[in-house]
Amino acid sequence: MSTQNAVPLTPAEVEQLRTDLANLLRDHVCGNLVSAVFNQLSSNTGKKAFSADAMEIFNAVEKQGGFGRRTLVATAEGGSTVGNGNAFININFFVSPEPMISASNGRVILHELFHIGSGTNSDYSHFEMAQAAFDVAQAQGFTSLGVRPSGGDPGGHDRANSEIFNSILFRACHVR
Amino acid sequence: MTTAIITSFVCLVLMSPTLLPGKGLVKTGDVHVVNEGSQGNGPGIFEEYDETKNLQQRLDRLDGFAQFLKLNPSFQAYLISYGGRRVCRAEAFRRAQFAKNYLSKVKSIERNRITALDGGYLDEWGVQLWFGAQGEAPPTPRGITGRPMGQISKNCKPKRTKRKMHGS
Repeated sequence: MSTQNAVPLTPAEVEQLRTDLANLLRDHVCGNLVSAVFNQLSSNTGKKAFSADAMEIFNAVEKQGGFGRRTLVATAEGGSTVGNGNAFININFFVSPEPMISASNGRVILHELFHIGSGTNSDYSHFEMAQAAFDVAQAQGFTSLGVRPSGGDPGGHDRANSEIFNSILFRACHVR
Repeated sequence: MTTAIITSFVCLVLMSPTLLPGKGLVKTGDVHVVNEGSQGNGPGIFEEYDETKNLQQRLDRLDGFAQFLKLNPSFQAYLISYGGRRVCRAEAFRRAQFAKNYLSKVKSIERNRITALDGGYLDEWGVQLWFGAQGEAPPTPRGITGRPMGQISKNCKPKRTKRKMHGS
């Protein structure tokens, strides 16, 4: 179980999240960016990603700490790392197959998979994620990215870099 | 018939007196930092639209956003409206207010859950639909504030939506 306060998601809910993720990754722009960001995180931070395939990380989380739901001052949270063997994700939203909602929920899950997708015992911070996403987006020809993230605060409270990461992720991964 | 009623209502919303500049638009300042839990997810973008999307495509996105907000009643909505290089006076404001009025008046989302934000200026105009959990600080717009990069046209009138009549 993920955390003491979380209610485990039903198998149907987990399956919907898996579909949300699969639908996003099926789009080659999204799929390419996501796998490249995992590789970039490995090289930028020295902390090797568990996999460059987000679906593999999703499946690992399912077998480890699992997926739960609890009230948060955030849309979702991820804890530990896949490398630790007890990674978990808790969500604070309801799943739906409606295409735009599915895409949005898939991006939130992706965000958390990035946090906990390290194959080491140390997770990826918002700053590390934003910087890696910026590097990849720039290399892949995305424009109007602004300046490369150059600072972050430790502890995962870094809102600015979280939003930069979410913005880049949205540009690659959305309903077309 | 239903389409005609909705289209008429959209026209009504567009011409509403609440569109007058100076009301309800929140200027944002510095980056917000909040305690959101160990590795939490801050506000996320649900969708966005710009000049490449026609009216129906814009409404489709707002409809999807409304559905999402109804599914998650504790979430807040943030409408960030950006002006482009060439803008009409208060154009970004009008777009933000249109989206807010559409969500509240047509889709029955409580107005106190919706915040319209002036995003500043980007190369092209656009409206982003963001969401955040209760208690989270709003997202930070990424546009340039102050003077636009290009020119402000004099009080150009917003385009009116053509009323389409459909037989039932």
